Amino acid sequence: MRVGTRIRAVALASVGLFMIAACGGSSGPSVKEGGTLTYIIDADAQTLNPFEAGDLPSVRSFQFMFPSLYELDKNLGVIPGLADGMPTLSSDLKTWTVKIKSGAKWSDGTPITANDVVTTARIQASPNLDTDAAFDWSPLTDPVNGVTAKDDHTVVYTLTSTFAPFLAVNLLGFIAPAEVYGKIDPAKMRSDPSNDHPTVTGGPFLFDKRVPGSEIDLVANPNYYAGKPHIAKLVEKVITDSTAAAQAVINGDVNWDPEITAGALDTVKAAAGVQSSEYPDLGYYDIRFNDRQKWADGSRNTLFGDVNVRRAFAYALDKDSIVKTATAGHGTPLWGDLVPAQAYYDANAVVKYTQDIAKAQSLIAAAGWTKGSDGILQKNGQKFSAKFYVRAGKPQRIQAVTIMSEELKKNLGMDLQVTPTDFKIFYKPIQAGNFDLAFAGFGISADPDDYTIFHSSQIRPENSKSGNNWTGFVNPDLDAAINAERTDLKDTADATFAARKADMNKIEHILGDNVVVYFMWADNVGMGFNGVNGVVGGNGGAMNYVDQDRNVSTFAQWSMANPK
Amino acid sequence: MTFYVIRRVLIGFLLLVFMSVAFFALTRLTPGPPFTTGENPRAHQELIDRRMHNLGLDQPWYTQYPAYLNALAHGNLGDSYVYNRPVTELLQQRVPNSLILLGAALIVSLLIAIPLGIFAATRQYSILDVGTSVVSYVGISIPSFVLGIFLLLAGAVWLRHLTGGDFFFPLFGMHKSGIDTLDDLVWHMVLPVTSLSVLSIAGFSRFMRASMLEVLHQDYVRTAKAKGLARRTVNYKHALRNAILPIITLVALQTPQFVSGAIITEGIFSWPGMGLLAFQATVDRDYPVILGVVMLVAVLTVIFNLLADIAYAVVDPRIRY
Amino acid sequence: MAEPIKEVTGFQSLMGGAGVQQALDAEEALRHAAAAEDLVVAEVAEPSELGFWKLAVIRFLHHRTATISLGVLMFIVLVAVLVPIFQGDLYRFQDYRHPFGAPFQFHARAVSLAGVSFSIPWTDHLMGTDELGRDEMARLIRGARVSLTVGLLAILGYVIIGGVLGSVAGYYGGWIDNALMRVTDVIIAMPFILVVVAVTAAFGGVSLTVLVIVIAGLGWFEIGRLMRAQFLVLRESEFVQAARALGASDFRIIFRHIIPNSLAPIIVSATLGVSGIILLEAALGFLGYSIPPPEPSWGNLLSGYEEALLRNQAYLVAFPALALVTTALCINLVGDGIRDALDPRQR
Repeated sequence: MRVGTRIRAVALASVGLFMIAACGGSSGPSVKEGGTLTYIIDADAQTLNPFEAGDLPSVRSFQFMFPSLYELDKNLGVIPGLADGMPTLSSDLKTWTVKIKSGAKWSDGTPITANDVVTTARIQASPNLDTDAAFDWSPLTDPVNGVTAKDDHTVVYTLTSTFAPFLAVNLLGFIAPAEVYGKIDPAKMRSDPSNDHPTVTGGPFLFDKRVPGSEIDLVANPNYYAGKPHIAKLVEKVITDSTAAAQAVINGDVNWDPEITAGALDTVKAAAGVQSSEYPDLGYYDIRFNDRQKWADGSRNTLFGDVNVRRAFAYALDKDSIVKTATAGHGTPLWGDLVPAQAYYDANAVVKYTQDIAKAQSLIAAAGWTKGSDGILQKNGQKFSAKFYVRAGKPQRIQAVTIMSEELKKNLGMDLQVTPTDFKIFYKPIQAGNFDLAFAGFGISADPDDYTIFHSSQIRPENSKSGNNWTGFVNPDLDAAINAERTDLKDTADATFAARKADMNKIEHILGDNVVVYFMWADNVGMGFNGVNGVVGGNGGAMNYVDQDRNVSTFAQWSMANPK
Repeated sequence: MTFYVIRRVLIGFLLLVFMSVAFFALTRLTPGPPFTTGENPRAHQELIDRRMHNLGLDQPWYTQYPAYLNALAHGNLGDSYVYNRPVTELLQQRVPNSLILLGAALIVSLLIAIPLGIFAATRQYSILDVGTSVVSYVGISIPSFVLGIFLLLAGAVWLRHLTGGDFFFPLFGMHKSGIDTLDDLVWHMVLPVTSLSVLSIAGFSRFMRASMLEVLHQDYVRTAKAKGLARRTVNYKHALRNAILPIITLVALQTPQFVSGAIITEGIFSWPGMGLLAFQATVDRDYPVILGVVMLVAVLTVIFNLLADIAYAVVDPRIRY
Repeated sequence: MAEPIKEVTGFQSLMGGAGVQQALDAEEALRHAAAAEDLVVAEVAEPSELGFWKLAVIRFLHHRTATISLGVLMFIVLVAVLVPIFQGDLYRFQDYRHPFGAPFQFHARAVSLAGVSFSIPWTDHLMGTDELGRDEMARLIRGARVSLTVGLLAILGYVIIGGVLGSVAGYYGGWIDNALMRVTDVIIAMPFILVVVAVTAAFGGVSLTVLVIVIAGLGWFEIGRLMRAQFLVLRESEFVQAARALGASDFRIIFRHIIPNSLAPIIVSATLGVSGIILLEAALGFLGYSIPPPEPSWGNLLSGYEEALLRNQAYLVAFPALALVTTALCINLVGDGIRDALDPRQR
C-alpha cells in the first residue's frame, strides 16, 4: 500500500483511465454569444435551497446555480469540477483529501474556498438538518470534526472505515456559500425566506427572478470559474401538461425538455429540427416479494416464501415483451439491480429466466400447489390469491401489473388482483411486512452500493426501523458480498473497480438465483433540444451526465443556434 | 329585519367554526401521512417521525385542533408542508390567477347565455328555441377534459400547421416569458376560457330560458300585454328585470368557488392557478394548504349566501324565513 | 335544474347556492302546489278518463326529440346489459405482444349457408385494440356497465337520502329544518377531491362502492332541498288541510298526498342528475381515480386521451368519448322531455 495513493478517475463506464476533460468554453466560429434558453419543468420547484430540495423540479432549478466538487463526464466517469484533481487517500484508506481550484468566485466576488466545502458538508451532516443527508455523511468520524479545512484550498475527510461508495455518493454534490448558508440554523433551514430566491450563487448562472407557479429566470455568471457561459439567460417554464411540453419543444417554443414522457417521445423523435436522445434512467422497477414464511404479523402464510414458487413466477413470464408493451419500447428489461446507467452493469453476470411455462407449472406443483375447481391454485386450504400492489396514477406500472396478472392467471392459476394504491398508503403494509407482492421502484445513485435494500440488517420491520429491505430475505453469502463491495477500496481505480465488480457479480448471481425480487426494467428518459448547440451526446447518446446536477460545468459550453 | 341579519351572522359564524372542525378532522383522518420514505433508498424513517412529531401530527386530531383554531383566529394559516412557505403567500400568488380565468369564463358565458335564453323563451318552440336547446344540451354533455384537450390541440397545434405557423394560440401558461401586456394575457386566455365557457353557457342559457318563461306566464305580464304595451317593452322592461334576479343571485353564490380553481382546465393549459395547487396538496396531504383553501371558500360562501338571502328577502315580500 | 359549471372545480363539482335555491324551489313548489290543487279539484268536479301521469306520458311521446333519445338510451342499456353476457371475458383477454390494432380492419371470410359458400367481410376487432391488445368494443360495452351502474346507484342514493331528509325537514319545519339546512351548507362546502382521496384510501382503492358512496354522499342535497321545498309548501295546501281535518295520520298524509304531488320535479332533477354523475365518473377516471384494471369504465378508457390524440391513435378515445357524450345527451334530452311533459303550466 503506497502512501499518498491517488485515486484516478474511478471508472464508472468502462475500465481504463480517463483524461480529465478540459474545462473552459470552447469557442469557434460557430458559437454565437447571447440568447435565451427556455426549458421545461413539469411542476413548480418546491424550494430553491439546495440543502432542502427533494423533488426533481427543484433540483433542475438549482442545478445551474451551485458548483460541485466532482462531476460526471459524458462516459459517466467521475471528473473534477471545482476540485483540483481526484482525491488522495491516506495509507489506511480512511482519510480522503481533496484540493480545490483557486480563482473560483461566488457571485458577490468572494472566493470559493475550502471553508465553503467544509461548511456545506457540516450542514448536511448536522443531525438538526431534517433531511436524509445526515445519514449519507454517517461514515464520517464526526459530523463536525470529520471534515476539516487544512488550508484555504484543501479539505480533509476522515471516515470510520474504508468506504468505497464515498466518492460517488458524497463528493458529487453541490457546494453552497458559507457566508449565506452557514449563518442559517440548520433546524430552520427548511423555512428560511431565502429559499425562494438564492442570493449568493457560484454556478454558471445566477438567480434573477421568479414568477411563482410559472417560471424562474436565471442570468449568466460572468465570474464562473469554468468560463463565462455563452448563453445570456435561462428561463425555466412550468408546463404541467406533458403533451403540451412535447409540442412546445417540437414547435421551438422552448429549447429543451429534459424529461419527455414515453408517450410523447416517439413523436418528438420524429419531428424535424429536434435533437433528441433517449437514455437509461438511474432507477429501476421490480416486484418485491415477501420472502418470509409468514406475514410479519403472523396472520397468514406468504405465497412467495418458497423459492420454487418465485422461480415458477419467473419462468412463467416473457419479461422482454411485457416491458416492451408496458413502456412502449422505452424501457430496458433488467435481471439484476444494476442498471445500464451504471458502470458496474454487466448483462452477462445476471441470471436470466426465459419463458418456459411447462417448467413453471412443474415447479409450482413441486411446491405443493394444485389447481382447484375454480382454476385457482390452492394448498392446504389456502388459495393462491393476493393483492398485487402497485402505485396508483402510474399507467406504465399498472399496465405491466395487469399483463402479468392476466398471464399468471391463465398459465399458472395464480389469482393476483391488480390493486392500484395511493402513494401515501402504498408503503404501509409493505414496510410492515404484511403483503405478498408489490410493484415498486427505487431511484438510485451512480454508485452500485445496495446495502440498504438487500442487507439482512436492513430488514424492515424486524431488524431496522428505517431499512429498505422489505423482502425479509436472509442469506449470509449475500451479506458477505455486500460488505465486501462496500469496503473493497484498493490502490488504484482499476483495482477498486475490479474488486468491487467481482463482489457485485456475486451479489447479482445470488439475487437472481433466489429470485429475491423479480426485477422488471429501467426507464429510458427522453431529452429533446431545439436550437441549442454544443450539447454533446454522452456515451451512446446518453444524456445522463447533464441530467440534474451531475455535470454543471458543461452548461457553460452550450450556445444558442439563433440567439435573440 | 335587523334581527334576522344578526341571527344569520351568528349562525354563519358558528357554522364556520363547525366546518373548521369537520374539515380539520377530515384531513387528519384521511389515511396516509404527509411524509413517506417513498422511492428513495436512502430515506430514513426516523427523520420522518421526527418531523411529524415537530408538527404535532402524531397526536389525535382533537388534540391538534385547538392550536389550529387559535392560529386561525389570528389569521395565521400556517406553512405549507411541501413548499415551506406561508399558506397566505401561496394563496396570494395563485388565487388571483384562478379568479381571472374563471371570472372571464363567467362573464363570457353570461354575455352569450343570457341573450340566448331570452330569445329562446320569447320565441318558445321556434326553431331557434329548439336549436339552442339541443346545442346547449350537447354542451353540458361533454366531459370537461375532452373539450379542453381538444381545444388545446386544435388551437395550439393543428391550427398552427394549417396556417403554416402564422396564426395559433399558445400551448401553455399565462404570459409569454418577460411580457406583461394585457393582449398577451388575453391571447393566452382564449383557449381555456372557451373551454370553461362552453360548459357553462349551456347551463346558464337553459336556466335563463326557464326563468324567463316563468316570468312571461305571470299575470302581470299578461296584464301588460293586454294593456297594449309593445312586446319589446313588455319583454325587456318588465319581464327581464324579474327574470334576471335568480341568475344574478345564482352567479353571486357560485363565485366563492372560483377561489379553489379548476383542476382539469388549469392542468391542461398549465395555468398557474389554485386548482392544481389544491389538488396536489390533497394528494400530498399538505394539510395547511388544503385547510387554507377550504376555509377561504367556506368563509366567502357564507358571506355571499347571507348577502343573497338578504337581497332576496328585501326584494320579494313573499319569502319569509 | 341545470348545472351551470360542469368543470370539476377545485373542490366543488355540483352547484352551490343554498339560499337562492331555496327561494327558487319554493317558487317552483308553489306552482306545482297550485297545479296539484287544480288537479284535486278537477278530479272531484269532473272525473277524467286520463289521470295526470297518463297525460304526461302522452305528452312525452309527442315530444319527438325526447322519444328518440329514450329509444337510443334503451338501446344502450340493453346492449350494456346483454352483450357482456355473451362476450364473457373478452374484455380482459389480452394480446400484449401485439397492441394498438387499428379499427375497421376488414378481411374476407368464407361462410357457408345452406350449402352455398360465399365470403363476407369480417373483422376481428371492429374498434381496434388497446395498449394491451384487448378488444376495444368489448371494453366499451363492458365499460358502459360501470358508468351506468354508478349513475343509477348514485341517483338512487340521492333520492333516498335527499328524499327522506328533505321531506322530514320540510314537513316538520322548525329546528329540524334549520339543522338540515346547516348540514347541507357543510356538505356543499366539503372539498370534493379530499373526500374522494380519503374514502379511496380508507377503502384501500377505488371501487364501485367507493364511487357511489362519495358521489351520493356529497350530492344528495339538491334533491333534498327540492323535496323540502315541496313539503314546505304542500303541507299548507288545502287538500292536506282537508285530509288532516278528516283525521289522517302524518304518515298517511306524507305518503298518500304529499309525495305523489312532489314527484314531478324530483324525477326531472334525478334524470338530469344521472348524466352529471356519468360525466363526473369520467372526470374522476381522468384524474386517476377509476376502477382498477382489468375492469374497464368509460372514465379509464379516456384516461390516455391526450397521448392517444398526439400519437394519432384517436380511435382509442373517439369511441368512448362518443359513447359518453351520446349517453349524457340522451339522458339530458329525456329529462327535458319529462320536465315538459310534467309541467302543469302547459295544459
